[in-house]
Amino acid sequence: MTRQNLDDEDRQLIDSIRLGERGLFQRIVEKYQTRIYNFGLKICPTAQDAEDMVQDSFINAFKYMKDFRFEMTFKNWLYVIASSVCHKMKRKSRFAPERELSLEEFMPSEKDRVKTEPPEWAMEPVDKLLSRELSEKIREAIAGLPTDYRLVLVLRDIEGFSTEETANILHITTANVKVRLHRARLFVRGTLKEYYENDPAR
Amino acid sequence: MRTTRQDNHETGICVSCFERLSEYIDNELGDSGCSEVREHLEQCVCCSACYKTLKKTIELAGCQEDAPVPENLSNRLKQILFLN
Repeated sequence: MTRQNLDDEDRQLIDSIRLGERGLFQRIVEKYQTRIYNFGLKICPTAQDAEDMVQDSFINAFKYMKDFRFEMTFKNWLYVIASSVCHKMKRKSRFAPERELSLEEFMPSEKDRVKTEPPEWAMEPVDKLLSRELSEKIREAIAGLPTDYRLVLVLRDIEGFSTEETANILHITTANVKVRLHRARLFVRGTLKEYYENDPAR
Repeated sequence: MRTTRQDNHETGICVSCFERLSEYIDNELGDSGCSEVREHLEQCVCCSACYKTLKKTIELAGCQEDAPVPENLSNRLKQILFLN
């Protein structure tokens, strides 16, 4: 099904729900719960927090559906709500400590500069590299990002939103999305580099 | 030889390339910015290694498997949204 078809289907569902067929909201939940839950798993500190976030997001979507004007797709609007719920949860101390990432901390070191070739892992196909251990490493690296950077990386590189869509979802500028995304990617890259350098046999 | 070129490379150009690597990967640089970065990557071993590792990082991050929604969460949503 194309994106346009999916959007049209959502529009029809929403119109019917607004006309009183509130049971159809179950279709919306079924359609998006896996996406929003997995988004939550990557953003929230624990699986329980992710579950709470999903619950709050769908309750809010249901409650405020009457105000939704299709200025963006319903899916994107749902992510606006989910991201906003995550921001509210951020106040809890279990989220990674907030700090700004600077570009300088990721610049190649003198040691890197004398190397002549990219590391082997950068040249291997993804399916050859992927393992449970590596996936866990990536998950940990993403979890270690400050929340504002984590949100951008997850929306862009995992959920597949464009720069503009991410900016609209998080209510920040596209320039800000680009800056945060680049630093977040470099942060995760640093973890992977370390992972492979610590055991070159991997 | 590429390593000799690297030794003599102007750090400023490397920094400028390093700053724009994500935009280059995402095809978000204009034509001239894109050519500048591409030409630099062909000449600079260090920036080329950064580019390749960053690109692989993005690919790997995008390949994470989805977890299924716990049954208790689905049931909880049904109860809250439709029974009240």
